[in-house]
Amino acid sequence: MQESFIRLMRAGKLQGASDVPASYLKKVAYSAVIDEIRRRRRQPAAVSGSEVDIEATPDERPPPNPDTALGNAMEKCMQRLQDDRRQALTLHLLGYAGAEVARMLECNAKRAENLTLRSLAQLRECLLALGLSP
Amino acid sequence: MSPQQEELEKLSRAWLARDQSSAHEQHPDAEELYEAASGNLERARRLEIVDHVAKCAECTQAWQIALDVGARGSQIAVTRRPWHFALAASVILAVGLVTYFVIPVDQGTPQYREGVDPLAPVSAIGSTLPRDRFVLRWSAGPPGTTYMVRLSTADLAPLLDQSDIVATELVIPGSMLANVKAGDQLFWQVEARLPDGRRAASHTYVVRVQ
Repeated sequence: MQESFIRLMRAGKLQGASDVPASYLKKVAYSAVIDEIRRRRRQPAAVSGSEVDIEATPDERPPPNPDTALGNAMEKCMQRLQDDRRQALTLHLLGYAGAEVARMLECNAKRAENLTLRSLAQLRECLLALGLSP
Repeated sequence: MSPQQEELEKLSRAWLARDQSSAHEQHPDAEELYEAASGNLERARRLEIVDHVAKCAECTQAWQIALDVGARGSQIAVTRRPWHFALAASVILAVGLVTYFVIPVDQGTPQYREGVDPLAPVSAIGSTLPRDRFVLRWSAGPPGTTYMVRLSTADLAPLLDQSDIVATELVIPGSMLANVKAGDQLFWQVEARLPDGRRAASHTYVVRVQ
């Protein structure tokens, strides 16, 4: 958060609040937060050996998320799709509706819909072959 | 919800929950991700980033955060998935704090996001809970309402995603908080499924583990 502020100062945009468009603030804050999340994820966990109770640790771990296994399989299956189908499905999974997928792919709505439906069908088949069902 | 919508919800949730690998090539920078999510980058680069997102869980989450904070802007309208609350929470906090520094705000006036359903649950707990009695509570909806609760760490790691709760409280077992240090903040949100089928999600609340 402080980083966002610093970035704004560096950008020379803090002379008056009215000079700073909300969209600019959003993007700066977003970039700072994503950079910070990435930085934290890159840091190795610092746990000293004396703090780790080997006997107790496995029992205290939260149960595995069942969604994760399905998600991992989906990623593998999606890498087998043709580029345009994979791109359409990726956008669809991100929440883009048909017209927006078309706009992002710069194709017509019918083609975007076909790409999405075919990729979904292929994804289902692939998941079933792996013993998973969506 | 239709079976197709349910399937899409399930797939989207699973896709976002997939394991994160550090084996990827260079990630696109945050600003580029934001622009790609907005549909503003030129097509070839935009699709390169979409391809990267398809194989990178970390950037999938980053893209989702961009959408949640409004990257869709005026060009692209995207269906918002309510379970992305944890991802959005940090950015909402960031935007809030930046705004706090930049724009003078009346200290006594609470600031709320717009568009929250009046039937959305409201937190009934304080800002800190003891680890051994970590009970989330919220206001009740109309009779017949069920609830879904999502809890994540401040680093956005999901701890719990439980649905079909009938009561207006949920006990979080200590084992689930085993990796949470005293003083750490957690994000939580409750979504009501109303008797008429509508859903109403609460604000995202922050609670500290004692």
